[in-house]
Order: sequence, then structure tokens, then C-alpha cells
Amino acid sequence: MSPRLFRSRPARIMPAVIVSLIILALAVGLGWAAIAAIAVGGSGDSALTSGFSGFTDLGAAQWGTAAVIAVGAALLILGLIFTIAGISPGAKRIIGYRAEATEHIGRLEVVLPTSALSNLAAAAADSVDGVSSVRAASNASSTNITFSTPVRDNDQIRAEVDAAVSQRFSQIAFDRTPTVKVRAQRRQA
Amino acid sequence: MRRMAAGANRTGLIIVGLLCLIVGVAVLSISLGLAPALAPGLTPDGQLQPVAAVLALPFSAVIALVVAVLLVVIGIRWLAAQVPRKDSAKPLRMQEDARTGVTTVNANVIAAAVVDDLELTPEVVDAQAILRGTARSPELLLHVDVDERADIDAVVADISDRVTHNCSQALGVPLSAVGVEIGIARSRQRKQRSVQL
Repeated sequence: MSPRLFRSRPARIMPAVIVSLIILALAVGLGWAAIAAIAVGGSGDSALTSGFSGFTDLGAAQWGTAAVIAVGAALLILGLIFTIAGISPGAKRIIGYRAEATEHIGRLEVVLPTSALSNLAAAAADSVDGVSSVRAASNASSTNITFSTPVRDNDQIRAEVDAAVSQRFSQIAFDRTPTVKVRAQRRQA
Repeated sequence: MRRMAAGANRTGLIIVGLLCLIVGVAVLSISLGLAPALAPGLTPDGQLQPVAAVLALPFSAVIALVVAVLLVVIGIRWLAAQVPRKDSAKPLRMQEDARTGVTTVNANVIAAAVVDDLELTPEVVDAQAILRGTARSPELLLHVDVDERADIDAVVADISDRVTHNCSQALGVPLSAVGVEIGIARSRQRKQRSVQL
């Protein structure tokens, strides 16, 4: 099986950008200290401590102080977060669609992102009478719809919204049709 | 549709995460007094002098500068890898017999033609196309934004019957793979698409 054409799991762009910016900031700080030390020492063999006095204070600090414990705890938590972000696959963000390849195509792959699913559901719910606004949130297997309505007794409208969205989804040849959950919110018009 | 550096990101995150985790555990175990069981002498009331002494060694500033430059290179390369890549096909060589000359076709030209063709489908609001692979086994990646009330099955059927057929005819070979990502266009407000009487 050749690799799939669309990536279904998140690529961890945001954590990677954060970590690379942290690395850059560390590098700039370290470079600054190094250049300051070389400038003060005036020769290539100067020690890093000659630039800033902060390094000598560091040597006098004890392991048990709150600051050292805080740094250790921060490193531990950041390390855990980054490792988990790297290892855990993350939520699926596309839904497969059954499509058959024709003779001029070797392999056909059709997908809908979960955002498209939310928009479809919201559009279908929007067409129901009595609905004033709709919000929809989806993952790869289900869609949650929250609509607001000025009507006090809204069980009927909720059933209609559920039917409209379910019908819209059933017209589309998903690999696995997502389940629909509808919630009503009463709001004065 | 564009390619992200997902593998590199995850590898980098795991490496940095494990490094942070190991250093954090080491610092905490010394600070909280757990280390003496393994390494006698590393008690919480000990000073950080051994760590600071490393920074006071001669030539440590030059070494720090080299490390800083290395970190800058790593950081910038990792940051640059986050730009999504199209990875279009290299110009397609349509004829390989040198006596008759070589015809090369830019992949973007085919992709633009496919986009124009896609937008002939009435329900398609917007489309993007990328042609990857080679002239012998082309891969076509499509993103279509369809109207929210569109019949998606009809759009997919139109793409698989007409658009990809035209594309494979233009290239003269069957498409080895076609990927279609369907988005729903909801930019128009309800007021704009309704008529009030």
C-alpha cells in the first residue's frame, strides 16, 4: 500500500515553532554572553564567567533553593509536554469518502476535513424553520450541533434539525457516517 | 494538501522533550534530596559550584559561541521547515527521443488548466491543484471548495469522470493517484443568498 495522499493526524506545527523559537532565544542569549566574555577578556581563551557576574552567583547557590527546584520542575513539565506532543498521534482531522477509481485513475482518495463536516452540518441545520443561529463542532466520528432558538418548546425543532443533518450526511458516501448530536439553546429574539 | 514537516517535527519534539525531561528529573532529584542514594554527596544543601566551575574554564566562551551558532542553525532550519511545501513535479519530459527534441511541460501549467476545468463544475466555488510525480506516473492533488448545498457525490463523480479524464488525456497517461480534499464554502451570509419579499 502506497502512502496516503492526505495526512490525517496533526503535523505538530505549533509546538515545533515554539521549541525552535526557544532554541533560537537560548542561542542568542548564549552567544551574547560568549561575545561579552571574549570582549572583556580580550583574548580567545577567556572563560564564560568573565563576561557577567551572574555566573559566579550561580556557583554560590544551593541545590535546595526554590529557584533551582522551580527550574527543574519547569524543565520536567516542558519535557513531558514536548515528548507527549511528539509521540501521541493526535486527533484525526479528515474523514474518508467512498469513491471508486475509473480506468484513467490508478487510485482515488477523497477526504473531507472535519471543518467541512461542521460547515455541512451547520448549513443543513440553518435551513430548518425556527433556528436563529447554529454552531457545529466535529471530530472524525461525530458532529455536535448547538443551535439557538427563540421558541420555548423546542423539542420539535431539535428533532427537525437532527433529521435534516442526518439526512444530509446520509446522502454523502462517507466511509463511516458520523453520528449527530443536537443541543438546543433558548435565546430571546 | 501541501506537505508539512510532520516527521521532522515529531522527531525533534521527542528529542528536545526527552532532554528536558532527563535534565529536569536530575535537577529535581538532587534538589529534593533523592540523589544521595545513588550518588553520595549530591545533597540539597550542596552548592552549584561544580556546574559553575565548568563555565569558568578557559576557552569556555569560544565553545559557548560555537554552541550558540550551532543552536541558531538548528533553530532557523527547523523554523524554515514549517513552511508548507507544494512539492510540485519537476518539469515533465514528454518526449525522450533526442532526435525529435525534448518537450517539457511545467507542472504548474497543467495544474492551472485543471483548476480552470474544475471551476466549470457549477457547484465548485474555488479550487486548487498540485501535480506531483513524473510524466509517466503523475499524481494529482485537488482541493475544491463546494457550495454548502452542493451534491457532493455529483461533484466527486464530475471530478473522477470529467476533470481527471481531461487531465490524463492531456498528459497522455493514466493518473497513478488522485487525491481530492473537499471543503465547504460558507463565506456568504444568509442575507446575501436569500431574497426578501
